[in-house]
Amino acid sequence: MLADLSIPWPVNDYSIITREQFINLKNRIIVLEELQYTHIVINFIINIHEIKIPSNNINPILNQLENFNKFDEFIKRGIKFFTRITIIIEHPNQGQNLSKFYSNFNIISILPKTEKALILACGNLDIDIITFDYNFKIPFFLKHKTIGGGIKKGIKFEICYSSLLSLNSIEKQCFINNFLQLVRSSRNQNLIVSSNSENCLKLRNFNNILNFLKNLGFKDSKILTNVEKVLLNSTLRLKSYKQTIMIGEDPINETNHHLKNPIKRHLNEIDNGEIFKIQLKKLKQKNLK
Amino acid sequence: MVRLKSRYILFDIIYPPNPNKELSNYSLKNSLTTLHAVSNSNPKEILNLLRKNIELNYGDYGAGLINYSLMVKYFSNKTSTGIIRCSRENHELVTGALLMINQINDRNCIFRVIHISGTIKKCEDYAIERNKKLMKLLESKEFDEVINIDEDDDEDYD
Repeated sequence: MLADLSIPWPVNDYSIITREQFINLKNRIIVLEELQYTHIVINFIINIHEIKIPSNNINPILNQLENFNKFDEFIKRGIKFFTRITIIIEHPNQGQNLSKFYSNFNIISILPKTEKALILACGNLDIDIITFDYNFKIPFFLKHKTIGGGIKKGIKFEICYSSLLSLNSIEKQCFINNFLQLVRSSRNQNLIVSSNSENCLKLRNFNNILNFLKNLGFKDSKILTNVEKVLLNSTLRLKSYKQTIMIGEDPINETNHHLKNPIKRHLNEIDNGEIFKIQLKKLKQKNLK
Repeated sequence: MVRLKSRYILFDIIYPPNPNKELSNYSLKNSLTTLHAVSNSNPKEILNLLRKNIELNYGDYGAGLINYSLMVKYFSNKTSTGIIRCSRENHELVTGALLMINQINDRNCIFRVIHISGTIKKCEDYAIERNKKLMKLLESKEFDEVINIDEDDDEDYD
């Protein structure tokens, strides 16, 4: 299983996307499919200070793609889509009220612009991912103490490789500088890699990127499980009881969810099906008595 | 005497569509044929492009390290796959430079490293196996229709 956790939505506000932008999005998905990604997350980036959030229809991605009905042909081939919101925070007092996003988006992430915002995001907020803008130098020093607080809570830190592939050499240098700073301060823990590219030319094979990053001094063998954990956490938030118990099948690796009635399976084919069998027998015996 | 050790890199080129141009349809067959289009470049051009990119990204130092024994052993235009030979110590520089190539002959492209091995034979075997799988995908009639298997509802679990 390979997942790209950040494919940016074409616009940064609630306006309706044009036909050209929609085609751009589709072309990116084709290239990702060829590179053998199976889980694609569409990322809506928003600046809370500038844009007012409407009271209903908070999620423009689900709204305009009609609940991913427009991507039906991709879903039929086994690709799964998720939505994500990235909130840009400049002042720490503005990012407190995130509760309305939890029920509308799968993944919630934050892009801190100042050090105070980063401390807030690592300490108090209940989020999945913290990202940075890799086209520019991070304007503050990343301390191990603040990042370590986030790691203890299970927050993942994101590396976006699209600025590595840009033609501008300053952006490349900034990417490598920021990447090394993040690796140093997080001690190689809780990192994830995603593309964050605005067109289909800046997408690459996942293993090639990982090899390149390993040459720079990055040693994490858990990077794939980290990505899986983010997706699992997000689905559990919506569908489970207190993120611990959920009835049903594996929400990530299940591929036939596009059918109206998912294929019924025999109890023998399900993991731990024997426990269900014993339980069924007991229930039947009770009914007979 | 110790033999000269080298690494062989199997790569292929993907040609992504123009970002804002719509394809005629988005079926698996059509997307496969557009992305794996026929390329119109020869091994010499690829070698020059690679040298240029190493110098751009790793500077004079990297170009000096890699210069001996770098060679494009094989390149096929129809499948746009090829094999590069380089020295064993510095093959990371070559894969890093291949990663950052954006254009070839003014045409957008993505270089993908598929396999790295110590002998050219293993690379060939791997390439043949991969192409067989791709051909099978192209030949099969319909991928869009999923066969729907229903099981009996009334089954006893005793």
